[in-house]
Order: sequence, then C-alpha cells, then structure tokens
Amino acid sequence: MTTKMVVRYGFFLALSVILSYIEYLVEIPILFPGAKLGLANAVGLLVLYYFGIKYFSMFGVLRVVLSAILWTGFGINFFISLSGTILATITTILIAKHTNASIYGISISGAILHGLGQVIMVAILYQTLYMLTYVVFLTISGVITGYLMALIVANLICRMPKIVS
Amino acid sequence: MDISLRKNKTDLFIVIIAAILVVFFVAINLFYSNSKDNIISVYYDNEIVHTMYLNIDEEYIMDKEEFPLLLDRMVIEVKQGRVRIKEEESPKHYCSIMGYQSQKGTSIICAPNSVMIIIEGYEDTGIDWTPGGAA
Repeated sequence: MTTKMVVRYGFFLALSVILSYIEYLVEIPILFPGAKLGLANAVGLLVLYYFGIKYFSMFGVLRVVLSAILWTGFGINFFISLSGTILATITTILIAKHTNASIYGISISGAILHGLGQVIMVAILYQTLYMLTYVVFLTISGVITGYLMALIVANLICRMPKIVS
Repeated sequence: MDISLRKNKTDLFIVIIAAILVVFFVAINLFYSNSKDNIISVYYDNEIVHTMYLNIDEEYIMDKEEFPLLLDRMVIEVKQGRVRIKEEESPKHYCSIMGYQSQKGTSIICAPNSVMIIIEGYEDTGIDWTPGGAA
C-alpha cells in the first residue's frame, strides 16, 4: 500500500466514522424504528470498489471500533454493531468474489445481513427469540436502503475520478 | 476491483432470496403469536427485560451488576409449565415463598427487588369474585 493509498483509505475511514456518528445522533425514522440508511456502509462500498476485498475486509470492523473509542463505548451496542458489520462484511466478500452480482446486489445483501447479524446478537444477549420476528422489517428496509446506497455509490463512482491506481 | 455498476439477474436473485427470508420469518412470527398464551413477561423497574415461555423449561439469572435495583442475584425458574422465583434476596423472602405459579393472568411481584413476573393471558377459574362481598 502506497502512502497515497494509506491517506485515501484513512480519509474513507474517517468519513464513514463521521457518517455513522451522524446517523447515531440523528435517527431518521425510515420505514421502521431502528432501520437506518447505512450511509457509512455506502463508504464501505466505495472502499470495496477502489481498494478491493483485502482492504474492505477490515474496513467495517475498524469503523465500529473507532466509533466505540470516540463516542459509543464498548457496551452492548458495540457488540450488536460489530456482529452486524462482521456478517455484512463476510456476505459482501462472498458475493463480490463468487458471483457476478452488481454493486446493487452486493449492497442489498450486505444491508440485509447487517440487520440479521444485529438481531442475532440481540437474541443471544437478551436470550429471547422475539427479536427474530423483527428480521422481516429489517430485511424489507435492507432491500430498500441497500438499493438506495448502491444507487448513490454507482453515481459517485461514475462522477468521481479514478482515485486509486 | 471489477464490480459492475449495472443491475443484472444475480441482483434479482438476491432480492428473491430476501423475499423468501421475509416469508420464512413471517411464518415464525405467526407461530409465536399463536403461542402468546404461554408467555411470561419479566419486568424490572417497570420495563420488560425478559420473556419466557411456560412450555419451555428455563432458568433466567438476573445479576446485581446488570440490574442495580436488585438486593442480590435473582433466579427465575420455569419448570413443567410453572414459574417461580427460585433464588432472591429480600427481607422475608416472600418472593420465593410464593412458590410456583401457572395460572394465566397471575403475577409474582417482588417489590424489594423491583421485579414483577406476569403470566400473560386470561384463564377463567370458575370463581365469581365479588369484592368485599360475603354471601
């Protein structure tokens, strides 16, 4: 990784931390309570596109850890967020590597599995299966927000110069 | 990385899988709503903190670290369709002395620990209660 790439990677990481903080502060009631746009995940898609799987694999975890250090702390929310991010990252990598899905399919699957990972962690932490029924709403919102984020990222990529050589 | 920016059939396949996932969890939701009569709600400081089922044996442990209003560790046990407070710390231990409860609509209230257990639902006991009334 060249110095230029390190700087650009750091820039993307900082951007995603800030965006996740904004979403944490201003909870926009989209579709269902708890559902988020996933602006930080959109930055993750840019990282996947420009830097590849290797750097994308650690991007989500770095963002969650940095957000915890800076603002949210290492409480229950950290583990819920981390589980969602890990599951979404694994899914995104598998789909990007082994299928010919476009940025839309990758984004939608990542958004759905992000919600699913969080719900699974809540079910484990609170020892209740009740939250699993919430997967229905998170899956529907995941399809919609995943599509929207992919739309934004696809447009950004078309308009932005090729930043990583 | 070479990622297509145009939608294709694989994307549609992913959305179909998501739809199947939704149907699957709707089915689970329906299953749980049908078994609502078996729900036991555990309240702590007037908030539901845990849900148990009369038909599923389980021990729920509440620690003082997580629930600071508790006088000490509390253990709630569901066994053979009944629920009780198995272990608790209170001045006269009334909470655990109450023993097993299984009737829908009844509750175990442990005020010293700010804990209340409610067996959800309604069960007709056949008793015609008349407040203060003596026949």
